[in-house]
Amino acid sequence: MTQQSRFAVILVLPLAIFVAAFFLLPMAQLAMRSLFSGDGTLTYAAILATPRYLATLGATLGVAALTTILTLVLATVVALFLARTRFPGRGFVIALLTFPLAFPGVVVGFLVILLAGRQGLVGTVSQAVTGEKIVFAYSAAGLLVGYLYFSIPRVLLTVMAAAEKLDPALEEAARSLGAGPWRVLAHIVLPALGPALTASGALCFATAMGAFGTAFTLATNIDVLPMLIYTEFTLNANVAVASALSILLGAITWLALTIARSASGSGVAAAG
Amino acid sequence: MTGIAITVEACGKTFADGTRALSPISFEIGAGESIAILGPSGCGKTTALRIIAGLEGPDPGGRVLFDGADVTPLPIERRNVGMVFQSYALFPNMSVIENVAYGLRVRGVPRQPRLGQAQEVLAMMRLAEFGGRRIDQLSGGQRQRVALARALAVKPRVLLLDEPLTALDAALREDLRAEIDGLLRTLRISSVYVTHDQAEAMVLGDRIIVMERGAIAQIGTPRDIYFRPASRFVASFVGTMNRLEGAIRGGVFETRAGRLPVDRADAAEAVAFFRPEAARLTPADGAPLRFRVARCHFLGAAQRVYLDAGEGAPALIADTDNRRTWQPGQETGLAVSASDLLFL
Repeated sequence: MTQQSRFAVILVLPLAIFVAAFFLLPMAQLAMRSLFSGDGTLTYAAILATPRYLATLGATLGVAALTTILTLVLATVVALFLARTRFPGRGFVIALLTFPLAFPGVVVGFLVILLAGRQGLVGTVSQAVTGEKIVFAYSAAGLLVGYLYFSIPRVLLTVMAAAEKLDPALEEAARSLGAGPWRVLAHIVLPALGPALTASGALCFATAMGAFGTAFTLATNIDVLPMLIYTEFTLNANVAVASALSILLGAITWLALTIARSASGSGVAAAG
Repeated sequence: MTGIAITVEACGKTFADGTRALSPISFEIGAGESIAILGPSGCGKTTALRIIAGLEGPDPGGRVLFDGADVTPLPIERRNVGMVFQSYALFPNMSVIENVAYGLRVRGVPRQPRLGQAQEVLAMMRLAEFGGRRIDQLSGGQRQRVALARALAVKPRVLLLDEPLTALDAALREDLRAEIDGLLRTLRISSVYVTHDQAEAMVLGDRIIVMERGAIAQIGTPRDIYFRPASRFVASFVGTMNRLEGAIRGGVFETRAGRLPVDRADAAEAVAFFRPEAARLTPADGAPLRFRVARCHFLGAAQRVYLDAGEGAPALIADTDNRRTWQPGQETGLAVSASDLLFL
């Protein structure tokens, strides 16, 4: 071993120890638990055969997918507008739009309850106007609003950065060739934003899949995967199922993040 | 591909923040004519081009006519103009041939015929074998030729070029300049070429519009602009110009360095301009103007002699043959024909 490579090993050692102690060992144990406690590999089969688990998995995937699509559409529209329009107060609007980044999931859930809970703003107004109280904070819709709340700022910032880097001459060239605004968007702008959209979309999906704080606050009428893991583990002491579900959730999220990484060419991580 | 006549009528441009990029300007471009708009950065030349293109609207009162028809309210996508940008602006998500065929795709030409037509234009630009390449696999010069091919593929009514060669290195710039010149002559398409490079303007413009601070300083053929500049700005911006101060009394231009006969009315203060190639160095004895040589640059084919014009005044420049040698401090005579002297 040359002196240089020995030095490199010394530098990497702390990280290696940390990864082994706090990451690989618990992961291995999680995998072992899911395979060898309870029914062993049958646990996975049981999950896929149990309607309740399947429904939860479906609901989680559905909410995450819908969150991703809506976030991408909303954030792209706003990002394109903000990237190419200069107006007084633009900085303030951006600060306002990225404000939710400051809040943890629990607070986001609380905000959704204040908006659409039993004593919420939407309920009060709808009762005054139509006589019927609209409450959706505790359903999939409430969860969706909560997830949108913390997904939009992240995607917005990424897409805005990408949109600002676009050469305005690209759009002008397309227009000079006869392309109207929608064609320019479809043929030029969206393909150019493709990597940013894929990366931030996958990140958004992964975050929505694993969000716990918001789900914990809101999910009374709907079950999502992180909540299911929590209840199986703490209330039912069903370690095997909790472990298997964790591995499943991890695998799906990891896949989404891998897509994100390969699209953006740099490291990204889920949050929430 | 035949060109159209373009009329720009009182087109000014004031931006939202109140800055005036362009005072109302008017000019005409003949069918098939190539016009070069020349000026320093910030003179409004790009704004003028963008108004013709339809990327910017003129201030109220301005009009743009294509063959007599008012196109002012039409956006660029409905004007059928070809545009070439300094940054090439090639679509990175499309191959070379897809870029060239894009305008035809937008016009609804089916895939096979449009790829065929695009291939023909690529062949014209000597890029026949590059159709399948990605944009990032091309050199700068190739990219700009693809951009030209893309603009020409839709058979535009006018070709608009915004500093297309500025991003290229000097040798390539000259090659592509000659190529664009050949293209414009062959196609006889009307064109507007914006540049800050006077050599490009001279080579490519049938006529040159020189702009200064948002206004037209002069419109004319390259020879007009060079030999008969309308203002001191044009004189000093296009080519090298010598400046000699003095007074005119009784048909004689009197300067610190001597006296020259001129055919002009008396003036207490007069400034004469002349080109370095109009200056002839003569023996000092009996010469009308006498100077000392400040320095001499041997350039190979010619040499450029700098003459000390006295304190505070810029050195006068004389381009002479490459044989004689000149020593700093040496005294020399200078002769300029009266017809080569411009009083501006």
